[in-house]
Amino acid sequence: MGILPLQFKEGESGQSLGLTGSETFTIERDAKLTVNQTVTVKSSTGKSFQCMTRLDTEPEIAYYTNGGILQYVLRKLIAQTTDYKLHYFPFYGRAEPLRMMLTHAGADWDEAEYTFDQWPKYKESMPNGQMPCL
Amino acid sequence: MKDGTKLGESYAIGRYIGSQFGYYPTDPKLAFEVDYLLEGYESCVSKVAAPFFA
Repeated sequence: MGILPLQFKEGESGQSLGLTGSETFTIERDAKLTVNQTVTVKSSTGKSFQCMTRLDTEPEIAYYTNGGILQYVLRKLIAQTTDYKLHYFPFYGRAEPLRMMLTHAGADWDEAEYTFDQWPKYKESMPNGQMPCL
Repeated sequence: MKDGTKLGESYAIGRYIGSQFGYYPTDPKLAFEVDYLLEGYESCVSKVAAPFFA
C-alpha cells in the first residue's frame, strides 16, 4: 500500500524499547484505517509495542490506501472520464449521427475536437488513421 | 472508450452505439433495411464530400 508513518507513544523511543534498527517489523492494525490509529508493532526479536499512525487527515488515509498520491490522483482522473469519447473535427460531417445517438440515448460521453492543423499529429493514433473515432 | 479501446469507421461505430442503446435492430431483415439506408446515404455523401478531400 505504501509507507505507513508511525510515531512512538509518549515517553517511548527506539532506545527505551531496546530497538537497534536491524529488526524487521510486523504491523497489526484494524482493517479500516482511521486518523491517528493505534497499531501494534511486533519486532523480529519478539518485542511488541504500540505506536500511533501519522496519517493525520482523511486525505492522507486515501493517499496511503491508494499506494501514494500519484496513484490516488490517477485513479481519480480515470474515475472522472466518461464512458465514451468521440474524436472528430469541429463540424458535423460523419460524426453528427453518432453525436445524435449518444445524446438521445443519454450516454455518458464527451468529445475531443481536432483542428486540421492538429490532425496530422494525432492521425497515426486513430484506427485506420481516420476519424471519427470512439 | 473508457477501457482504452479505440473504435474506427463511422458506420461501424454507429452500429456499435446503435446496438448498445437499442437503435440497431436485432432482426436481420430490419437490420438490412437500416444498412440499406445507411449505404444509400453513404453513396450520396461520398460523392458530395469527395471534392473537399481531393
